[in-house]
Amino acid sequence: MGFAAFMAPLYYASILSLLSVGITLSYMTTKVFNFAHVRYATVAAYFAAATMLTLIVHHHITLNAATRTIGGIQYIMPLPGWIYVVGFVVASIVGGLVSIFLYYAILKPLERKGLPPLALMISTLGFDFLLVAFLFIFMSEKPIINLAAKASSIIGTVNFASLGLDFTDAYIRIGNTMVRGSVLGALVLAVVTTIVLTFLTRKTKLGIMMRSSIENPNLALVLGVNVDRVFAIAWFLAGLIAGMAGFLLLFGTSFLKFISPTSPYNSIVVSVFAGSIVGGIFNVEGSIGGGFLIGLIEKWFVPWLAAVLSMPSLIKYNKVFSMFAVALTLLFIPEGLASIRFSKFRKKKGGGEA
Amino acid sequence: MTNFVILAEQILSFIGIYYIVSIGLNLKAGHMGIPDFGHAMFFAMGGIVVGNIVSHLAAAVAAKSIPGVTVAGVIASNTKTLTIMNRQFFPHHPFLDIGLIILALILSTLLGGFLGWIASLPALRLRGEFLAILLLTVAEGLRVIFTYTKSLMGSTPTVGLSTPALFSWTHNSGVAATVFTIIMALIVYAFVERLHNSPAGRLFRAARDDEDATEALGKNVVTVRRDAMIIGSALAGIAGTVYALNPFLGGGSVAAVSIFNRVWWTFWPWALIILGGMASNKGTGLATIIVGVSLIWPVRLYSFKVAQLLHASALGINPDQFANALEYAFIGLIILIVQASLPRGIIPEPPSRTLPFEKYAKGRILPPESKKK
Repeated sequence: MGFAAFMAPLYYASILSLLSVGITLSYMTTKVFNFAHVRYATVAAYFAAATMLTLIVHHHITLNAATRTIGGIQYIMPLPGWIYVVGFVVASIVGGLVSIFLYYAILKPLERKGLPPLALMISTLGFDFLLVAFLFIFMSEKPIINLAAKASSIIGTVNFASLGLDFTDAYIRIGNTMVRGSVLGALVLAVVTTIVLTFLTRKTKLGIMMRSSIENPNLALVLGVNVDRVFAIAWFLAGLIAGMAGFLLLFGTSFLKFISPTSPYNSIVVSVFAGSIVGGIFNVEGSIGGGFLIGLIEKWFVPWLAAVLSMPSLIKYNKVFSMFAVALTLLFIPEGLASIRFSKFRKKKGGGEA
Repeated sequence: MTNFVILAEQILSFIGIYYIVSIGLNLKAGHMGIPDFGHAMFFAMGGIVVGNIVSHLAAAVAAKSIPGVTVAGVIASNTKTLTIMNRQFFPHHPFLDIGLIILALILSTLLGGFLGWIASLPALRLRGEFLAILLLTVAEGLRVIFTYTKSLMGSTPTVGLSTPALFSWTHNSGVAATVFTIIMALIVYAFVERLHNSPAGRLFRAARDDEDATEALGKNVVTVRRDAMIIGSALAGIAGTVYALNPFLGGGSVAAVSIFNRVWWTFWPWALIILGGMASNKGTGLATIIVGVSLIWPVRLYSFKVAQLLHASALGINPDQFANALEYAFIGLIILIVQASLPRGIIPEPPSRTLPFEKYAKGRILPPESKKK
């Protein structure tokens, strides 16, 4: 199988892992499953899109579809590089700000009232509905629609309401294939996030503060750690990473429907929860791996199985596989794949989880 | 006048159907403390009973007398078969229709309860948020199965199965369906109110509040949780059937899979029971009435006009999207405001009115809350 067939699954898996790690970060700190988490990506995507369209209209930027070469590497970059950078930064900051708003404006006051974790989880659901309501209004406002109309006259069709944006993807030649920039970006970002988070939680003072606050909040408080602020930073990071994922989703047109508010509850939420739980809800690196695993199961393993069994209709049922993954994980290894000590298995010759 | 009747029918149908769904969830989440975030799957079961099983049975009878109707045609050419039956068969066979309605109710109770029993198997091992996430995932997986299995729920997610018009023998099928919905809601209310005061209902709440104490008194908490799950899910199944038989709210003519999503039938019932108060049957009823009336009447009907007003004030918002947004904001704000200001709901959980309690209340000075009786 060539590399090309791997690209869509890898892209999806990277996005899922980026979103799963945020669920884990917020669960580890406050013991709340955040239903609004995936919506951060949508909000961030819309803000990034609006910013990029404004810049395109303001600077009269046209698409450049020519293949260029730099240092012997062929690439296509339809928009100037700095626009991508601006969009990326806007998306990640918006994601982080929405997350921190949820933490300080809703979760903290409710927690102080003594609500149990389940009630807090439901309050994130309420916040999610508010975000959907906001998006419905935001995407249909006159200035935005005018902006989209202007932009479409410059760079081609732009349908802002359903995020049908013509942000043509960038390409880079690796070997014989032109690899989509978004795929490469998602992969690189997933790897970088893993490394940065591992470094942050294990080597820096902030990470040690965070881990001690998770382990025993009261003791950390006594030792002078501002637990509230540490948790808020964790939530900000979770939102930041979700915002990055939202920016990447702008370029994968076939995946846009997952975050469009016009179909408010598409199943990506469930896949993200699945990734977070399968990987290990108490382990940051584990949840990145779990998201990757679920993504590969849904977009690569199931189509492969369908081809092997010659049952093409099986592809549609890919969410059922993640359902079983979650059920098996929760029932048999509730702390996720990251909690398995593989050295034990080698001695006992026990079978691992599929 | 006809507009008013349709509005009243819509509001009453909404209240009736949502009351049954929410009380099923309240039984699980409020009385028993099982955070069921997969409630929509039991509801969808009721829809399948009407759209699939009942249509097949009716087609088996109709195939003898009416040309163009075959049993296989119920799935293969669903719209055509059901249109023929709805015009030529159901209006002329009132007793068969009533029988089919009763059969649908029995089947959906059984199937919803069966599905609830299966879902209760993991519920016995897990607790809290993890159980909620598991049930959410299972419901989504099941929804995917329902969506793409043609023999279960039709060919495409958005079209689904047409439902049989089992009230077409009456003079006004809309009014008949609404009355049926309200009667079902009242029966369910009587049932859960009885259950609330019965030993079984008190056992649910005892097991919720203190498992160890309940087990020490010789009760098996595992079976108690299973029973609550079965009864609550069966109620959701009934609600699904009532919904599919009702021609309003998008049901009735078409039972599309996309209707049985988790926003409408899991998250909205959660919002309603939070507003009404956990383990409070009257509270859920009041919450359903408040939300039903305000959502259907001012929000859905007048949001368009409000949006037009805002449109004039240069905000430039699309009225359609505004109506959608208002609905979501409404539910979201209900959840947040109630959790912040009224964590126990508008009518908090009442004490159990057991038989000795009533006797005591009759003979002696009445406690303040029982004076109404």
